[in-house]
Amino acid sequence: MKSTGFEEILSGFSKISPLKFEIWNEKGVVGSCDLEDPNKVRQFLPGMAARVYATEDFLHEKNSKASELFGLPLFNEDSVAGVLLAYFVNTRTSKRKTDPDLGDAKVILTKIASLIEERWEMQNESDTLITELDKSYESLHLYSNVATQIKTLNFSSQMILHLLNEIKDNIRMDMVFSIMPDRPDYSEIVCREEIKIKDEPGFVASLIKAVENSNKELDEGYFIVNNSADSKSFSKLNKNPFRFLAVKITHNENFFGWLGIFSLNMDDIIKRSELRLLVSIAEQIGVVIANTDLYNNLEDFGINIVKSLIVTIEAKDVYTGGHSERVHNITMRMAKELGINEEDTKILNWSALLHDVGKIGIPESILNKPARLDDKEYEVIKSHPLKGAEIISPLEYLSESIPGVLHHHEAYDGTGYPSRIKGEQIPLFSRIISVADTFDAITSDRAYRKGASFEKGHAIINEVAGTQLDPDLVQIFNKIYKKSKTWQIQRQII
Amino acid sequence: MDKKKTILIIDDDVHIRRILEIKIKHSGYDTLTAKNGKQGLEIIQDQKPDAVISDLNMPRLDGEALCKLTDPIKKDRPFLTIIITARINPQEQKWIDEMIDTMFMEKPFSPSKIVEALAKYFENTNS
Repeated sequence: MKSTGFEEILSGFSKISPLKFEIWNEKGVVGSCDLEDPNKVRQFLPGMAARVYATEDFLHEKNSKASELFGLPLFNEDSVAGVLLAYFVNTRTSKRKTDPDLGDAKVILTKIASLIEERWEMQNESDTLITELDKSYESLHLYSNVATQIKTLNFSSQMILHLLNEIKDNIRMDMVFSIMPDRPDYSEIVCREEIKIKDEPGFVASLIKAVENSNKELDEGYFIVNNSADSKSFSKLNKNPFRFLAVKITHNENFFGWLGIFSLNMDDIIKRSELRLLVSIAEQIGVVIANTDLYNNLEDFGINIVKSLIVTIEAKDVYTGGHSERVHNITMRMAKELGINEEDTKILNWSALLHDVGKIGIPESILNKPARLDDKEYEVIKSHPLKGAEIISPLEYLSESIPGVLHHHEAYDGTGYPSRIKGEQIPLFSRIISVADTFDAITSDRAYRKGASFEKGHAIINEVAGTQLDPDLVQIFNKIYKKSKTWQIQRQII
Repeated sequence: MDKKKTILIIDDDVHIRRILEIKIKHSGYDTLTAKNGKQGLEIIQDQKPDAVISDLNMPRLDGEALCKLTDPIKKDRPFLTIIITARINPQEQKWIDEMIDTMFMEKPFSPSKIVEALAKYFENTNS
């Protein structure tokens, strides 16, 4: 029984009045009472309390000690949560002239009881409000978490996992899942440890299949089962009854998959607020996936544009077909070996692909001259890194890739071009491209000579380590050269 | 059985105090509440709570000042302090790291995560 907050008041009141009050529950008196009891009336109280509990109504009794007993049930949420007892004591000093008025006693007891009941009711309401507020706080926390994730362009499987776990803890579900048939990366299931479902993916798949096979209209974009026992197609999926909600993940008519919650706790139902929360999260996921797709498409589009640009350049130079792709390939392997992070690898990726883009401004007569170039012609060729940097400079997205292009012909000892910088002054990315570029130049056929073998190319690279090339990066090149017995074959493919 | 742990909740917002009070009571702890850092500090000194949950921005002694005043007490009698704050900036992270047994929760906070943090702390300190 909840505390009434009236025990102290009633006990104090009892001290100054011939009418003594006590509040009882099934176990006995609640709070303090007058234990002096000279007339030995209190012995009748347990029986009285029990009778009031049983009748759930006002009782008035006269006992063998000629003392009056009154009892009234105290209701809390439609059941008796306690009883209010009162009795008269005929002390020697206060001889009453008349018998106590039964009506008066009933009125005052009823008033006190209703005060206690009102107080309980208010406490219940307050507790309900607080519980609701608590839930709103949890939802708010979840929303703010989701909102932060929505801002990022690249959605990942870890983010889905994190989100599902948040939902599971937040609305106390046994299982939360996202199923996207075309996106296995985003298909995850999280489950409370205590829940034993064999083959969770299989179970979720059969659940979704049953949803999709059901004749119910799915216009609203969700599907609720509050008790699987009510439906044949769902009850056969698990031996214990369950409830679940699946919400469609869509964006602009595109269907991506399902977001679902599942519980074996049948004491509760899936609430309206939980449905709203899940629908809104599913909407957000839809937006993020659409954005991520769009971003990836744009990036792919960009890469393909650059690739066509390279094909155009290489079409001018009959001998260098595939050169940029091969340099790019070697550069990326070196980047991996060096442990360069994803973001920087992207920058290097563009520099490597575009390192010779400046050749578009070199006359074909020079590029394809079937003899050694004279000094003047060589000067024209030497302008290609600068021309390349100029070509890509209007593209903000590629701004960080410019240095890699501009300096890929600098030499480690400072004898290269265009800036004649040396050692560490040369950007790392240019030094990497330089190694890859040199190797491919040596081993490719040229207008005026045949390409050297891979072994010869490898040997020459090591000869120029420290003069033309960064010796540390040549070591890295040696490592990947050793690993790549299959270069010969790959070259044929490219 | 262990004596019930007592958690002090300090916040100038009455509904936050109430929500945390009910949530924490339901999780089996005793609670004390204070409306500001000054009142909180007095309760920490007099009633020695086992953990303190405090808002950062409060009238009459804010969360940061409170932590700095209670840190010396924690040397003899360590207890957990959870600071509730809006998005944390690096400077704030720094002073929180310097305090004994102090952590933060971002607003909007999750009441169940606060209870989880309390349970974890008591589990670690008991063993």
